[in-house]
Formats: sequence, structure tokens, C-alpha cells
Amino acid sequence: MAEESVAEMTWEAAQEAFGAPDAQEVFALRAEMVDFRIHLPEAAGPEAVAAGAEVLEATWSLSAAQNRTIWFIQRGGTWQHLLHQDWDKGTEY
Amino acid sequence: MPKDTIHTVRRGDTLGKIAKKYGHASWKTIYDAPENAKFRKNRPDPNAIQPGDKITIPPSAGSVVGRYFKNMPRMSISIDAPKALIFVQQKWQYVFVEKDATVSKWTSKEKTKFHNDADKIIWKRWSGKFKITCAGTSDFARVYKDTVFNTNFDIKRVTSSGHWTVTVTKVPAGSKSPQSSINWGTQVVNLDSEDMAKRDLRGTGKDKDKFDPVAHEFGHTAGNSKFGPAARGDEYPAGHANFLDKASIMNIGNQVRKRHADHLILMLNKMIKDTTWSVKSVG
Repeated sequence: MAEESVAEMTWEAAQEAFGAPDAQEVFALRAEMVDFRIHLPEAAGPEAVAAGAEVLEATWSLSAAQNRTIWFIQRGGTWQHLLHQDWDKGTEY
Repeated sequence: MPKDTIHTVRRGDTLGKIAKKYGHASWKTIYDAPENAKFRKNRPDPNAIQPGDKITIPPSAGSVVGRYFKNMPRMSISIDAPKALIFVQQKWQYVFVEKDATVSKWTSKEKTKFHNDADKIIWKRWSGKFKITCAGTSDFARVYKDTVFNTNFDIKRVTSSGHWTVTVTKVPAGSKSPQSSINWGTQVVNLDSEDMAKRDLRGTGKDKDKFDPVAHEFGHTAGNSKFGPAARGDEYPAGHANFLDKASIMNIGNQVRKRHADHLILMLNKMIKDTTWSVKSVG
């Protein structure tokens, strides 16, 4: 799956492409986030942060060594891609 | 179980003299020892012991090894029983890098300050919290069963043979901190120059609630890792009871919990034969 297409995926498209995620969680954006989510406020922008916009975080196993997490934000009634990251399964944040 | 010393009473012996001979501060330690129940029954008056009486001498602080040290791949642990202290130390071998050309090179002074600040934060958040006791059939456990051990955590800067390789990225002051992380398997820690700044992750606005990134990552290296023997990073998905424990240092707060010493307890339990350890309380 090309990086460009991941960046354009909605939540529905991601499920179609990768199947059901291994983990998923919905949370509200805040100005300060834990390290794993530290880039989300900047990616979402100050208005979304101020509004406490909801973010859907979904993680898939890409391989024995790598996970892919995609964060979606609710826009126009659908979960739109906000940010994604491939990360080593051995990493803890 | 170690073999006990049996003392046969001679003419002129008193429990006080016997206690002194075997390094016990008080005769009551010997007289009241569970092993001497039968002797007490026969000699209800401790001042009336008789030649030929056989008394079991429990181990004393002077007769057992009270100091142990074990260097492990990710930390060393020292037990100093006479001082009632358990000391956990990690050797950190730093790699200092810059995010890009917009930030100045690390100076020697900045590197030293980073380490010293990290050491202070880790000490503040982790040391003096766990009160640990031991039990078991070893002489050590029998002597120190009533001792409450304090536990301190420390990092030491080294230039070789580190337990952890710690890469610290210098970013512009006040900028958004990059992701900090650890990898238990490769023994790598990734930090940055903004990790000394506390974060209000709980959103209370109170300084006492603020999160110290360095202390959190240290918690992973101290054994709160899903890849370590404790098999738990102490970070939980929504729905888990501990997910709601926001004040936990392994969540978004700065308080240590009893479970955060699970790895330490596992390691301590391997250090002295027939001796098991547990966390009595967390301060």
C-alpha cells in the first residue's frame, strides 16, 4: 500500500484495505498528548484542539516487526485521515 | 534450609553471654526464637538455664552476608541489608544528536546538564517510594524479616558498557518535543532536549499532577515493559481498570504504584536463595 494512499484513507477505506484493526480507541484531542500521540495536536490544528475533537486511533500489524497506526478525525460526518505512523513493535512510548 | 548452630550450655553460661558470643544484640532474640519453643517450655525462667541444655542459635546480622550485588543486562541491583537499602542503577551511554542544522551542537556543559537533570527527575519520581520486605527460610531472610528496605533508583553516565544506549535529540528550545520511547529488546532509549519540561497531560493545571517524560521512559527501562519478564508495560487500553489510573507514572501522571516494582521483585527473588521479596507499601 503506497504511503500516499494511506494518507487519503477514510476509516472505512482503511478497514477495507487492512481488515479489522488489532486495537482501536477513540479519544478527545488535547493540547498536550502522550508521546505516542504527541504530533496529533499540530496535525489537527488549534481549532480542533480547542474543540476537543474526537480522534479514532487504529493499529494494524504490518509484519512481525512493524505496526501501523492511523489516526482519523471526525470531519463532515466521516472519520478522515489525520496522521499515520509505522512503528517498530518493540518500541514503547 | 541452612543448618542451625546448636549451643550446649556450659557452667557459667547465661543467655546474655551466649547472645553476645553469637553476635546477637539481645538474649531475647535467642530465647524467643521459634526454634527454641521446646527449650522455653523446659526452662520458663530464662535466668535458670542449666549446663547441658541445648539452644538453637538463630542467624544474626553478624553471621550472614548482608550485602549482595547483581549486574544484569538492563540494570544492576545492590542490596545493603545493614543500611536497609536496595539500590537500582542503570548505566546510560549517551549519544547526543541534533534534530537538524537549525539547532546548535550540543556543548559539553549541556550534555552534563541533561544527564544531571534526568538523574534528579528519576530520583525524585522513583526513589524512596517502594518499601520492600523479605521472607523465606534463608539465614538472610530470618535475620532481616522485620527490616523494611528503602529502594532508590539512579542513572549513571558512562562512555562504554552501558545498560542502555540513550539517544538524546536536541530540538529548538520550547519546540514540540519529538516522540520519546524505549526498546527493551535493543536496550535503546530515545529522548530529546525538551523532555525535561513537565507536561500537563491530565489537564489539571496543577504542577503536582504534571507528567515527567524522562521518569515515564525510565519506568519502562526499570521493567515496566511488555517485552520484559514482568510482561507488562503498564499502559492499558480503554476499558481496562488501570486505564483510568491517570495519576500513574506509567499513564499520564507521576505516581508510582506497587505493580511498578514487579520487575524489581522478580529480579530480587533471583538474588538470594530461599529468599522472596514483596512490596510492603508505596510512599
